Amino acid sequence: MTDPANALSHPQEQGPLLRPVAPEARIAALDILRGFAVLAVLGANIELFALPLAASSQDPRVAGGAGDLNTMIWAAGKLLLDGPPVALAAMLFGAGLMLLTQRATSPAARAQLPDLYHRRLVWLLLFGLAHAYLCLAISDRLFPFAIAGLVLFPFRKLSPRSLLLIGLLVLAVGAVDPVWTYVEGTRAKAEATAAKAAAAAGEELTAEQQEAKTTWEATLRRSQGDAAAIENDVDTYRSGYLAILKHVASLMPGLQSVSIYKRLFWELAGMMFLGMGLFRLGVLSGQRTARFYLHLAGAGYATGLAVSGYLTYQVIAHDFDVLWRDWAETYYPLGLLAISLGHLGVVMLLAKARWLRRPLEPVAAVGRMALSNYVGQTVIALCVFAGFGLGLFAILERVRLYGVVLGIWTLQLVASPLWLRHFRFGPGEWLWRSLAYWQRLPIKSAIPAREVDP
Amino acid sequence: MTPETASPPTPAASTPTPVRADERIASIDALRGFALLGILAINIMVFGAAQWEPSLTGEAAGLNVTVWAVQLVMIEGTMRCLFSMLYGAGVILLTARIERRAGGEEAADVYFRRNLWLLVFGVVHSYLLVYLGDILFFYGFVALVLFPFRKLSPRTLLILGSLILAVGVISPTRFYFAYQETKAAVTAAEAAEEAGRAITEEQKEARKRWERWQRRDPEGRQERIDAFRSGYGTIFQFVIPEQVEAHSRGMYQTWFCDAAGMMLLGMAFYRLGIFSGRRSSRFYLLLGGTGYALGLALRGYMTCQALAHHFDLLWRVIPWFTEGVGRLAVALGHLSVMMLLCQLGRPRWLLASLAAVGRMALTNYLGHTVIASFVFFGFGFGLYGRLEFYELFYVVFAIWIFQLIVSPLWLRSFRFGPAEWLWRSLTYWRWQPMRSGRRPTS
Repeated sequence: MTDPANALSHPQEQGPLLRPVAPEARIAALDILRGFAVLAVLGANIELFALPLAASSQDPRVAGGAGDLNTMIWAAGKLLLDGPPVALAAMLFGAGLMLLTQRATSPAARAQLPDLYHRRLVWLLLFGLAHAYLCLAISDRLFPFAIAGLVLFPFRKLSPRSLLLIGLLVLAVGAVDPVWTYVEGTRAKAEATAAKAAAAAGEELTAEQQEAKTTWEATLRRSQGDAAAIENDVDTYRSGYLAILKHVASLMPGLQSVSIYKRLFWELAGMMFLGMGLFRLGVLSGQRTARFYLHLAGAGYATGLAVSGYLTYQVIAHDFDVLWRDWAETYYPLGLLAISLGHLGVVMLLAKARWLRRPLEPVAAVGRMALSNYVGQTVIALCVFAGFGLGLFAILERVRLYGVVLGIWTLQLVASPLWLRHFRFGPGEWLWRSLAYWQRLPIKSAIPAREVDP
Repeated sequence: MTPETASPPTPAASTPTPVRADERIASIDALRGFALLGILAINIMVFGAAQWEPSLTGEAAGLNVTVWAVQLVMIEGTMRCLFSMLYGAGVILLTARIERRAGGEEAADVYFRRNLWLLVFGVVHSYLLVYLGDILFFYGFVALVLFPFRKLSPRTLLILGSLILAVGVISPTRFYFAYQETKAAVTAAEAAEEAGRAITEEQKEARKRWERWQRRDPEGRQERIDAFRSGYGTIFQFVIPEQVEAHSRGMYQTWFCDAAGMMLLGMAFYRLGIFSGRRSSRFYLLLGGTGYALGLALRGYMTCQALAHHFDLLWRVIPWFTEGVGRLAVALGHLSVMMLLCQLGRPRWLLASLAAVGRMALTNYLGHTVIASFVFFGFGFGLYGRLEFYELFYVVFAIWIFQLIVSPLWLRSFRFGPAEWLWRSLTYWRWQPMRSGRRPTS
């Protein structure tokens, strides 16, 4: 890619170009929020790292231990961590575009802005592919982040109101697929039930009725976790790198296309638009009053816990019935939005508290090297769970899995501030920025003053 | 870097505006028109239920096979290739023009708004206009990704384009192995049946899959034919799951690389002045000669093999491995012929008509769908699956002639085609003047 310095012929006449933001100029609240989001994301992904896919996508009881405690942990994770951390990261991503736009004050910087932003996305797309395939991460969100980020640019100058409205609208489109799935499921069940009743009455079943019956029975079996698939997952993840890679490569085209098209894009892009709007309103950078954040947290949790809590309760009460799960999914965007706003309110309250400034420094450090820590979680988890590492896949119960989570959190909370004492960026951030600016950026902490942003 | 992009944006930034008619490069318009009409010769197989096979509609003999072979060697993929390359060239043309007038940030805004609207047009075309072969959605998306590549040197663009086309071979390779495996199971099942042994559940499934892939499973085909001969509502419901797959998995596995690779090559060729007819006649003669020789030999061989193997599925996949080279070579042949004609300036009426078709490419592309839907689908004349392979081309010729006549007539009175007018109005978020002779407000 072109060197940004050559992208325009007279940069000196047109003012300073964009440079990576200096550590001193960063907004602490954003880093703290990003830190919490990255740490929390592990709480949701640990299921994908450590348990067969069916345990997180279908019936949690197929792996990770039985008993009330494990079920409660599952429910708590589902309510608080399954989605909201990624949603907060997406909001921050949207805020990032606004920040970049704000920093581009000179004509030269403004001309450079679109190229810089989109070069970052193209590299993120490639990072996503590498993370997904080479790091074997079916949990990857870098790739969908890049895809969703591609649509944001021309919206950056809209009013906060329009941005929030667009965000809500996009988020709502994400409900189309769950509703469709639920309606189809209801129809399939009704047909199968009718066929069964006919069979019970001694009638000869038509070919269609027979098919309806077998299809529904297959759906039910699958919904409780297909035993063969679970066994295959366990065998694969306990074996070597290449076997896992082959397995991941067979899943990835669907995960990185159909899943994004149907659901993830709407969820992420919606949150990104909301993030752009909320940043403009000063909500993401902690500029609102403590009262405001208290109300935000209260309203968010009240709505989210009422809606998602009720639905999760019903799903458990109905023994993880597939239609109840599909029904709960239709409210996913609403629950996601509410809980995310609740988290946002709490984190901002923490970030605003003066006496918490020092204790929260490690969290901010984790947030400043979010990409490195995010990929780091995958690498550590592989070493713990995959066959070429400790091979603990599908062995630990959920209770103990969160012990692993605590371990990784501690490691990252200690290592990140230490790293940033010596270096300007995390290794992943350094690589990403160097590639986006297409020049080898200094990574050492001691930097000449002229390179610091004004 | 070409002079356009090296010049700084004018400081007194004026607002970006659509291109004026006198700014357009005639050779590019004519080439676009040519490619657009060519695309119909391929897409007619979707409308007419022929699905790239002469044996599905009518007998696989005589005129059907001849037309099929000519179409496969000369047309298939080449028009999409030209169209993608021209879209790539358009990326540079559009952004460079606005950067010159109004600055880089404005150029990016117009560019992204324009392609996001194209994405929306693609969704409308796919779902509401029920067309199962839309490219607008893919172009709109790919263009979002390719923006930061537009200022690279021709050399880098050529390398990256070739690289992406090479990555595109991964997916057919996977299909190839899947087909091979399934075919082996089918053969084993046949052998078992002959020996009087029972066939396994897996073999039964393999056979079913094989028939579906061969598009010969009678039930699936009948279902499709019934759906498209019914009313709009049924067709709409029928296409939804297929469109979801095409837009997502199809894009990921096939169409992204297909379009992105060719667009990057197109950017390079534009930079090298190949599209604008600025190269010498000698250059085009050489380029066209080499392209046709290489491309026709390669594709001729593949087509003969497909015929010799009775349209075996494996021989429908194998050509994909060489298509990157094959279709590009033939496309460069077509391109050279068009450029030579443009340099000659003859036949004048045809070039002028093609340029007009090319200037309203979006309108004419959507026009294909509207007209062909009424010819083939149930809410119109319902000829879906009723015409033999060669007969489809009667429809193609009729639409070509219609568009070659109507497009220049339309542009005599109006500045843009209706779809172009809508697209531009949405992009600039202001009604554009439609009648010719009036300048857009700025």
